[in-house]
Amino acid sequence: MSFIEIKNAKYSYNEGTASEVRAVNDISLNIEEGEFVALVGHNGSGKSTIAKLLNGLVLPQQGTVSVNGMLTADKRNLFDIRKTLGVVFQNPDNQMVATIIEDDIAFGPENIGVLPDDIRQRVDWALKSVGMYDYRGGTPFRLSGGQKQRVAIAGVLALKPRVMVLDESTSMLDPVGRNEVMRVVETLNKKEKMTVIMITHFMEEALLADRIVVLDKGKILLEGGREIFEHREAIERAGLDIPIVMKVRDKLAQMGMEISRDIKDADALVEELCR
Amino acid sequence: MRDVTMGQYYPVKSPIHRLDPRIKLMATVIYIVMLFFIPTLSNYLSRGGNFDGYLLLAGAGYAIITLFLLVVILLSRVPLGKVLKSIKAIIYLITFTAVLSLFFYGGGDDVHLIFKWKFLSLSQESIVTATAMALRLIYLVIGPSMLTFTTTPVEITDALERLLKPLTLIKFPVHTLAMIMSIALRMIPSLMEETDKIKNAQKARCADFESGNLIKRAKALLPILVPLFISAFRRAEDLALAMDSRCYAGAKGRTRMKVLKIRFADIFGFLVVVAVFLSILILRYDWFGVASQILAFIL
Repeated sequence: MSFIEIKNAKYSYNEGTASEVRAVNDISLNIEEGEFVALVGHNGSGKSTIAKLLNGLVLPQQGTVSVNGMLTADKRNLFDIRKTLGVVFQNPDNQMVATIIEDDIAFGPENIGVLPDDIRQRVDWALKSVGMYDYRGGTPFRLSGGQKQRVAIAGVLALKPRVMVLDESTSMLDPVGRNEVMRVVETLNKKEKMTVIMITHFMEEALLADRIVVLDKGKILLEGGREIFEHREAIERAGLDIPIVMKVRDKLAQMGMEISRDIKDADALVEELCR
Repeated sequence: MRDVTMGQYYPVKSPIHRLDPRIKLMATVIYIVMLFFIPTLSNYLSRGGNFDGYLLLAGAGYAIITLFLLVVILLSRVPLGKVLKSIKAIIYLITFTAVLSLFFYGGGDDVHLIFKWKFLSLSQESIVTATAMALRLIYLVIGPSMLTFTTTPVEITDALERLLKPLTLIKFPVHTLAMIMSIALRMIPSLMEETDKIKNAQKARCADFESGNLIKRAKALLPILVPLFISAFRRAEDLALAMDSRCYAGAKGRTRMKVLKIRFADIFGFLVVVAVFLSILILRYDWFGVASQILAFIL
């Protein structure tokens, strides 16, 4: 059994009314512990609904979702599921509860009844993990977007989850902020062996993942490693861009160069070319 | 931009700042109560006291409170000018009440009259009453200001939650109220930023907020308020989802990172306030005959 299992899940907003919108239409997906998976899709592809299905904020109308063997449909499991699987949302301003950064990070551990001294340890650890320890006593309002989102990540980290879901967490950030957040996420996946599920519409970010799942109209269109970008037409039809690195690689391959399909960013491409 | 969530908090390190917010909150309540234990002149006279007795009582009472306030202000390292500025908001109220009681005291035939013209009169009694009234109003503002100068709104909310905890026994939602308060505090800067954005967006489309009469200007605010409300509700929904995702389930089984500990200084500070209160009580009710002995000694 996989760590996270989505089995034939369906979910529609306004179910049974004229304005019914089918967000997730019969999706099945297994994710193992330690994986870095990117869910990509255009607006309305159902990718954000999947984030809410994963920690039981919404329940599938058909099919099941389970985390570490616990079904989200069972209310008694929700607390433990949310301890295991943390979600970072899109707008950092709308996720913060307290006016002081360290108080905000402490919110999660306080909710699950951790003892005061242990909360302090977790808060310090979480803030150091995202490189925001020096700001702990200040207010979040003067931070940049990237810094705010790193604080939001620390707020989830303090619960010591095994899975981190980032629901479009970089979409409101400038390129610098996006980079900051991606570095943090990569480190968590590589060093802390944390499972990462990254929901995004930036294909450059998806390239960093081990596995990419392309969603379109509530269904899985493509799934696999970086080689899925071969299906260029299908991806473009789903309203997504091919990352520029991949475009360059393809052009070079067309010109008769022998070049790997497994390239995750510009640096890797340069390295491949100099080889 | 000034940090609105800090209110008028004056960020320095001082013994008063370091005091436990619960102690400061309780002390402020006691302080307000004791101000009312210094009677007004007419009240004192109607209970059979005489004018000289009142002078001693009110004089000593206000002297004690002034001394106490001065010590607190000096210890808190908040500049005196800043403290006095907090009176500015009610300066008209003070002048109004003082002038009224100065000339309309009346008070029968046995007053120490200075002059009388038609219905206006000025007497020693009315001067004393007006002074006492103004002092009481000023001290009523300065005391709680000292609380807000030395305690952040977050600390005050926290202290309120802990002090009101016994009310949970009668099912009063103390934790929920404190949570609402702290989230409201946290949202103020975000909403202000939002208001600015909307205002600029409407200005860019030629909205006019500055000209016209009051009604016209109030109407012009509508295109700001409607989007602001909608966005506030959206924010609230987002925040609720984020809180749910971080295992929030109300007060049940919840712990706190920052535990407030009562230190020796806190107990000492509280005892000082109680002592000041007691001395006011002793003066007022003439306990142990202290007040009358002093009075006899002076006269």
